[in-house]
Amino acid sequence: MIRQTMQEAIVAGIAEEMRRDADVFIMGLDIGRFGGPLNSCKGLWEEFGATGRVIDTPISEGAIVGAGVGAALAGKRPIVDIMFLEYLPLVIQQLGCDGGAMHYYSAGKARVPLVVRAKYGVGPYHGHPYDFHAWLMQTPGVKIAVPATARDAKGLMKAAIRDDSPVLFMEHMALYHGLRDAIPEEDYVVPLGVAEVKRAGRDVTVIASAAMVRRALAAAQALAKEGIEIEVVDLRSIVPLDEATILDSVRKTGRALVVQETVCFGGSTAEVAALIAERSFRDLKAPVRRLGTAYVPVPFARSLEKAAVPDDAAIVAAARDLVSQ
Amino acid sequence: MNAQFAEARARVAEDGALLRSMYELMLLTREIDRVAGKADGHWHACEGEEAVIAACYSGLRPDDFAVPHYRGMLPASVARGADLRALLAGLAGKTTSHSGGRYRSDVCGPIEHRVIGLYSGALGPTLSYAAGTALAAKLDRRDAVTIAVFGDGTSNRGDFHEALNLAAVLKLGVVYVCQNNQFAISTPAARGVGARSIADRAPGYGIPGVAADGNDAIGLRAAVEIAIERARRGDGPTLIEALTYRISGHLVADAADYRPAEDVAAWRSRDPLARLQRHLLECGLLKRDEDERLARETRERVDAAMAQAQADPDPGADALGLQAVFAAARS
Amino acid sequence: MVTLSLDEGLRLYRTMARIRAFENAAEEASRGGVSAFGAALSASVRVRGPLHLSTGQEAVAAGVCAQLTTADLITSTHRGHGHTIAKGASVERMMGELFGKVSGCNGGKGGSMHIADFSVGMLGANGVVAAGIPIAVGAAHALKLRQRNALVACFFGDGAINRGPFLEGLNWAAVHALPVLFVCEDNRWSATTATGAMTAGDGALARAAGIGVPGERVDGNDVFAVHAAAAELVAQVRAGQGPRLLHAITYRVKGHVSVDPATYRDGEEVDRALQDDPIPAAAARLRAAGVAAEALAQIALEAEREVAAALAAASAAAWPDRAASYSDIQDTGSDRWLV
Repeated sequence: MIRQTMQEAIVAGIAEEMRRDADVFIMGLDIGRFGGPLNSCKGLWEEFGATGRVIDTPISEGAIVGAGVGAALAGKRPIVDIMFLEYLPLVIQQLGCDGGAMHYYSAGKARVPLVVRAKYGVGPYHGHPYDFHAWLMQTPGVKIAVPATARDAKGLMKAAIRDDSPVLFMEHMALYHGLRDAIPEEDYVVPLGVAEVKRAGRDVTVIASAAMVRRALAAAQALAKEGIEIEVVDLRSIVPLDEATILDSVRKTGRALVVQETVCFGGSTAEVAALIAERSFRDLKAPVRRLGTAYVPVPFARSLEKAAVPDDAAIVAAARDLVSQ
Repeated sequence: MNAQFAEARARVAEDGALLRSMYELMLLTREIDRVAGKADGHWHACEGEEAVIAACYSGLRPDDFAVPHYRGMLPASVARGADLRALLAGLAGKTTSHSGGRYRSDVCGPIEHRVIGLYSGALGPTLSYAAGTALAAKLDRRDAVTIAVFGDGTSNRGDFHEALNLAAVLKLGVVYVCQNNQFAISTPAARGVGARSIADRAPGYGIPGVAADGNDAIGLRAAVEIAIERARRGDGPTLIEALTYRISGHLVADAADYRPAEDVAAWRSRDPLARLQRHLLECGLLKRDEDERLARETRERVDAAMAQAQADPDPGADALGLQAVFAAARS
Repeated sequence: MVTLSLDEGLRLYRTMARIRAFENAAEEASRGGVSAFGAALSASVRVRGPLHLSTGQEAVAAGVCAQLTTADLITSTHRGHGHTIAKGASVERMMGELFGKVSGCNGGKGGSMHIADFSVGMLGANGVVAAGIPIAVGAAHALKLRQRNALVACFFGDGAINRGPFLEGLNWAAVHALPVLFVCEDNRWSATTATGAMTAGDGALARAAGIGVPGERVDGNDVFAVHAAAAELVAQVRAGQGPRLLHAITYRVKGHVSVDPATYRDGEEVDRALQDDPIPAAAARLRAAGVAAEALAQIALEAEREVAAALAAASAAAWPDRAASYSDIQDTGSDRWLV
């Protein structure tokens, strides 16, 4: 085992795949000698720069994701770093509408093994926080990976690179340089579409991803002192959604709280809540509860930001309320 | 006219085999227009623009990529080696089409023939897909090229701008051809393009820009060949503007009464097919009886393929392919 | 300076001095405001988040905006403090916005990257490169349709000329002969990348010419040259001749954001740029024209006092109320939708 931050683990995963497969390359803004914003590509230039497989690009998000689609169609395995998830709307056409449809529309002959990396999340960077992944939930054919730990991040990245469908890989900035995690030294992948129970409990299932998993775990510790045991399901992928793990847990606890750092309306909390309502209604002891960011653009002032994003206390309060029903 | 172009044009003008294959593709394109337009008023007819199609999609190597404009996608697919009946079956989503009925062949050619079509209704993104296929060739140190064709309307989309800059900065082997038929649906190019010409934009990207007669198959082919050679050498992209005219409406069903009839008549008299035919006959590269036989055979071939395609079955609801959205792992 | 009165010259100088004082204060207040570029976050920081400073680029904002009237509009970029000040926004309210206080021009909701002041025709900074270009074009189209005798000055950086909206916006403005002055404020760096390496061709002017927008190139560190070039182009735009582009070459002397030490670039290049500071250069010209050194020092002092007062006011101002989080958007016009 080695101990790495999420940023280090993601870069290590990319480097391992670049060593393993000469068709893997990476392009994006400021990813070369500079090493990428927040060190997102630190070390890749030094190791692979001379081979032309680390490509600095102009500020042309549409074109670089498009070039990623084209290179993937021609047999390469591109990784495109668009810096921030805030820029996802600039590439929905290429990544979602076209890239997602190509395999299906070509009767399986086109493969688009493309990974698009994007940072997001309310945290110490305090800029570009937007989580726009829901935009891609309506374009069939694109997978969405959303790690909460460094270990998962590396395994999911390796799985994403090896996948023959386009994948959006989300990197939460509050987790990026935070806790170090024990990472296996051997080659491993975390398969896309497989959630993980990060903490077992009998009373309430909290379904979350990324930074909200950390908050749910903190809330779980607080609640344990009151005798309330929550089970934390870390989605790890939004698409494909691991329905089985969610439903198994809800059947056990009978109570579900869905937490995401996005607006609830029309997003992945709605999807998970609908899944539970449709498939596990009779197991429920209380209505499904959702927590997400307020239906506002992420505000700037710290006080407003705090008011807009669910915190540990909100999770504790919601879980307590569910148990009381 | 510079010396390099004059030399290339003279060479193409004497290349009987090339010109005949281009002529056959133009004849085929017109026949496809005839049957497809009759079958469906939503057909984007190519009449008047056949020289662009012939000049761009003829003589590519199997490892090259073609990224066609939607107007010309189907004949481009034929030129790349796709089966005509399967392509025509794709007009109505038959099981025998390349996509098994999942998508339309008039705007999306088969990837197995290294054709990248439109996978959605948005024009422009394909110009960066072309940069991507060329980037793949460059990374693999291959001299395969990509030819990407788009309309005057698409030239005003940001995708054009970003793709050309990217291709120029990375010196990618792409030949960008604007099939300027002077209309984006009903908007004349003069109301869509702020500059005098689209080729004028090339210097802004530091690449050659060529304004070509899009109804002169021979001259346009010469310009394309120069650009292809430059791309194969690794010297980067070229922008060619092929000025032509959309004789048809945007769709066959579009009466196009938003433009003067005399304009249409004037451009009809500059028919690119008749022009190449004249050249071939006058230079003895094609005999009149051969020409007549070619016309007849092409007509029969297209009629037969269309009849078969129309008789082909529609896919059943069980062919929806819910498990086919994501690519399965290769074993 | 032939065509410029001393008063006008001093006005330009004052604008630059005010921008510089603001940027220096904002830079200081933002230390520890973001965890990036190796810098750590500080709990006591006053201005949070990435701050993009226009230090050293003041001449572009000052020279262009001096040619605008209050009826004219501007759009800006992520590096927009200078444009905002030059267009006449209150420094106090701007500082309040940087602090995220209720006294800010956006009530603390926007911060540096979304700063706007519609009351002076400043339509907003923008965190997305080139996103201001279509907004400017749309605003100009509105001015034309409403037959207003006004124009839009659209500021963007050198990196923006590689984004699609550059073509779409300029082309649209050319087709409809819209009253826009496009200003490429070329500081030669796109975040951590030298823009030249990412830009094919000869840059903004060549691009614009190919799209049908003529223009001029100017030394963006010479405020008088910017002022004169802008005067000429603005006159053409006001005369209904269609859009124009001013390509002003300057230099980003600071990092991409305030905490970025910009170690990725050559120190000599930065040293040379620091020698070419637009403010001392303007001072020297004004001195040569007979302005007393004391008068210039007094302008700088007043600017610093104004900014110091703005800092104090921002520090003293209240945080926005929690409920403000939900205002300005929650009025859906329906009492049946309670998000």
